[in-house]
Amino acid sequence: MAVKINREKCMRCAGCTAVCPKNALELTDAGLMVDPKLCIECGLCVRACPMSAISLPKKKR
Amino acid sequence: MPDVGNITSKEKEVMILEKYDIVVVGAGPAGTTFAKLVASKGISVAVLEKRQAIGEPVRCGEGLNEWTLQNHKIKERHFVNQKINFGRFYSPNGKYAYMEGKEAKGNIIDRKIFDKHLAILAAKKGAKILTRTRVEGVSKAKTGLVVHAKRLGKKVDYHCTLLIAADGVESRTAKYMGINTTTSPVDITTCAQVELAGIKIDSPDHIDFYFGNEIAPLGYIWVFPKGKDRANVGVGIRANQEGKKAPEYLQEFLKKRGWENAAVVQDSCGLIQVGMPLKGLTRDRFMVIGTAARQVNAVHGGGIADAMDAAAVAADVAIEAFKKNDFSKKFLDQYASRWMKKYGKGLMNLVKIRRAFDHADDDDLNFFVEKFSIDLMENAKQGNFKKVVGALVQRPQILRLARYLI
Repeated sequence: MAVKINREKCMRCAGCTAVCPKNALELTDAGLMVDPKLCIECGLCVRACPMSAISLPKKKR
Repeated sequence: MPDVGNITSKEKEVMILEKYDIVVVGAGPAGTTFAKLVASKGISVAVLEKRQAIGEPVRCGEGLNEWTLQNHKIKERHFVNQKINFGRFYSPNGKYAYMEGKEAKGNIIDRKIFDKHLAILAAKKGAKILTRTRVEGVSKAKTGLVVHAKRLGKKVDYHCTLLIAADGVESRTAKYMGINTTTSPVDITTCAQVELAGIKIDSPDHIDFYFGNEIAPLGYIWVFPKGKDRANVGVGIRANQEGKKAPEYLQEFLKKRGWENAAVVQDSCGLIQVGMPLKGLTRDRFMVIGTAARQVNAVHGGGIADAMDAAAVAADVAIEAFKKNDFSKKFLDQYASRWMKKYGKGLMNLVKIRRAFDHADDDDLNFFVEKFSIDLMENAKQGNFKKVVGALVQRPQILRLARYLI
């Protein structure tokens, strides 16, 4: 399980990492990363992202 | 090599181990202010910064009080783009309140230059600044904590007697120490900002704030001049709302001002935690400072001053801890209590005000701007809510907001 990250839209503000209850998101040198082992697809980061760069996988929506 | 405690067998392969009295995670204003103060007392300190350049990317409106610079004895002003003497608060009906005097004196700074300058000041006192060093975990050892990091692609362990988390909005280090730093979207403001160039700014020493539930619901728009032809223009809105996102509100405002085709020389977005400050500021051998501890002004969203102020309080306690050789949570809690007395109570009052403002409609906002005064603002920050409500009774509808102040 994991949210989908659009790295072209992402502006690396790291806002999503502050709302993630599972510490699944991390901003690294290579961009925003999600740990699929930790992500529960709660969607809080989707809501928090100002750039609409994070989305839930389609089938789960 | 010190006892590395409970680290796993895989991590025992680590070849590099460095030792410092204090390790600070994050080279923002909180981390480097702290490092400068402890280093000047001869305490060995390393600041670990995961990015390759300090101060980048900018995610900030870049406004800073003049008195904060003076309080922290920063003499240089080369990072200042524009001096500010006045503020204007625009209500939805287009009228504005004027702010002048000490409270309005400020600077629009360049964070890339400012943050780096603070790091240079720390380095001059003997602090070690390590860029491209990303912390991946923390574990306990007999005589301190071990910070597991990756530096320039290699694994490095940093052994420290005291660990400081100053890693900002991401606040991972506190999570490694078992402190829950996750914030709910009701207490988060998302922001979008552009730095425009080649525009015409009539009064560059004025900062402007625009309020209104249509232009920036549960937030505001700001215009912070960086000269007579340059400005940071941004918007912040609460994150728990459906509908348009911050960049869309920003585009609407730019269009209204005729700035939609202006040159954008810097594009930023970010998130501000405008809820109550973090409660658990300490553990044994550990303190959280700055934005990582949500030490932020919840009304205007600024965090540089609060981060530096908290860093100074924490540095005092750290210096005393090394004198007494006591790094227990109990001793370090002096940081929490001193900070709460000096700054925390004021910040918490601002959170209450912000929560009350969340329920204000445009008529309320018009009324607030009409009644605005520095005294009223100070009373609110001091928690003299009776006086605040007393000054606003001409509009009885305001009383429905008062309950959020309790």
